[in-house]
Amino acid sequence: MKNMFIQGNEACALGAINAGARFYAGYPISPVNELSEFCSQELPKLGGIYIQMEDEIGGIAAVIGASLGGMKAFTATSGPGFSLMQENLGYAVMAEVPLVLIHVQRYGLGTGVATKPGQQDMLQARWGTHGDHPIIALVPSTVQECFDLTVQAFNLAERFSSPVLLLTDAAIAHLRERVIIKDAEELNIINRKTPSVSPDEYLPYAPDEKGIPTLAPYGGRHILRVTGLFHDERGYSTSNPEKCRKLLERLHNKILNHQKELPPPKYYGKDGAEIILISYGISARSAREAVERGIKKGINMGMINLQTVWPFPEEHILNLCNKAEKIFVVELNMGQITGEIQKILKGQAEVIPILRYDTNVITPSEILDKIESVVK
Amino acid sequence: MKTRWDIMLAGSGGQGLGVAGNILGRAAIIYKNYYAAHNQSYGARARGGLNQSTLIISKDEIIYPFVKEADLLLALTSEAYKKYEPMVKDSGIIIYDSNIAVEPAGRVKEYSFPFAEEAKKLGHPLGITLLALGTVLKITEIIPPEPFIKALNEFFKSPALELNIKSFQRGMELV
Repeated sequence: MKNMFIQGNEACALGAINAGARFYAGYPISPVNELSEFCSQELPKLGGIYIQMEDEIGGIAAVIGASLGGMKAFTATSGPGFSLMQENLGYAVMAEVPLVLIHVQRYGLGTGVATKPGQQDMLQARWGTHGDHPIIALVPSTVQECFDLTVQAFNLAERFSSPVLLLTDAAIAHLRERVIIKDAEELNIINRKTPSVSPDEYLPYAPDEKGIPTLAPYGGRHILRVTGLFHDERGYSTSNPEKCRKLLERLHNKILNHQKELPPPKYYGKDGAEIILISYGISARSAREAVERGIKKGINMGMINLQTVWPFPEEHILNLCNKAEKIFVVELNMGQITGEIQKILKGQAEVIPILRYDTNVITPSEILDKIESVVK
Repeated sequence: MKTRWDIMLAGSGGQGLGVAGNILGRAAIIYKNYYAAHNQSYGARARGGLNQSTLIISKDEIIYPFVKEADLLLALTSEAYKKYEPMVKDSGIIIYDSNIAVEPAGRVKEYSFPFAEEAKKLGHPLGITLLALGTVLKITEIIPPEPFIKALNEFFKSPALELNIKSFQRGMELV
C-alpha cells in the first residue's frame, strides 16, 4: 500500500495494472493521454503489452482478442473514439467478452472541446451500440474512486463475463489528489473461471447456475467458438426463435438478477432529508459541497453520489428518496440522468434538473443558489 | 499550519507552475499526510501565455477540489497578477516578482522579490517557480522546507535535482 499524489488518469491505469490487466490497446486522444502514456511505460516492465492501434476500432478489437486469449485487457478513449468503438463493444457484449473500457468524457458532440470536461455521453454509454443489450457502467467522483472503481470494473468484467465501462471526465482525469494505492496482494481480485469438463464435453456458451458462460482461453485444448451472431451453447450461430429469446434474456438477467453485487451509491448529509441531490462524477463534488453548505444554513438536505450508473440503481434511489419532496439532479449535460430519475420516481417527488453545459464544472454556489430559489 | 490553504501559482507557460504545484502537494503529503488537490492549465495554454496551477492543502477532506478564492497568489508575470489579484481573499497574501510591470493593488498583504533575476543569476531560469516557492514557504510556513526537499528528490535526478534544491534554498534566503 502506498500513498500517492496522482491524477485520475494515472489512478485508473494503476487500478487496471493492480487488478491484473497486462494488455492495453487504443488510439491517442485528449483528455486520456496521461492514462495511455502511463500504460506504455509501465505495462512492458511487467511483461505486459501496450499497442497503439491504427484507430479506436482496432483498439477495442485488439482488446477483445487479448481477452479471448485469456488476458485481462482494457482500452481508454474519449467521445469520438467511444463512438467508433460502439460496434465492437456490442460484439463483446454479445460474445460475453470480459474487458474494461475507460471513457474519459470531454465536452460536446462531434469533436467537441478536446480539453474540457462533460458528462454528455451517459446515455450513449447505455445505448450507444445497437440492439437490446445490458451494460455495466461505473462513475468515479474522486481520484481515489478512479483507482477503486477501476479495480472493481475488472472484477465485474470477469464475474459477469461482460464488458464494463468506467465513465470519468476531463476534470477528474486531470485532477491530482492524495490516493491510497493498494498492491495487487492487498486487493480482492476475481479471475476468470476455467472449464471443469473435458474438451469433448466443453460447451463455451453453456451458462453456470448464475447464467455465466465459461470462456476457455484460445490456444488450449478446449475449443472456444466466438461469434457476434446469436448462437447456441456450442457457439454456432442460430436463428431459432426460442434460442434467440433465451440468450437475450440470459444476457440481461446474468447482471440484473445480481445487481446487489454492483457498487451502491454513497449517501451524504441528513438521513431521510426532504431535499435530495443526485449527482455523479466531478459534478458530485460540487453537489456534495453545496449540501454541506446548505446544512450549515439549516436546510434539511442530503446527497446521493452514484457509483454505478448502469444498470440504473433504481432500488437504492427509491429507498434513499422515500421521504424526499424535492430531488435535484446535478449533471454536466442537458439532463440525461435527470430523465432516468424522472422515470423511476413517477410523480412521487418533484425532480428538478441543475445542469451546466458550457465546458465548465458547475460550482457549489450555483447549485445552492438554484436550490434556495426553488425552496424559498 | 492553518486548516486549509487555497493556493494559486500563476505566470506564463514554461515556468514550471504545474510541476511546482505537484511537488508542493506531494510535500504536504510527505510532511503530515495532509489532503491535497492540484489542477493545472491543460492544452495549448500549458505551452505559453497566461498559465496557472492551483493547489489546495487541507487538514480536512477536500470536497470541491477547485480554487475559487485564494489564500495565496504567487504571480510571476504582470498578466497573471492582474487576472488573479481579484481572486485573493481579503485575508490572503500576494507574492509577486518585483520586476514585473504592475501597480500593486494594495488590497491585501503583498510581498515582492526579484525571482526571475535571481533564477537567471543561478543559471537556472527554469527553476523560477521552485525558487519562488522557497520564498513562499519561508513567509507562509505552510510546511517546513525539509519535506519539500524530499519531494524534490522524488521528482528530479542529478544534475537537475541539485540545481532545483539550490533554487529553492535561494528563494528562502531572499526573505
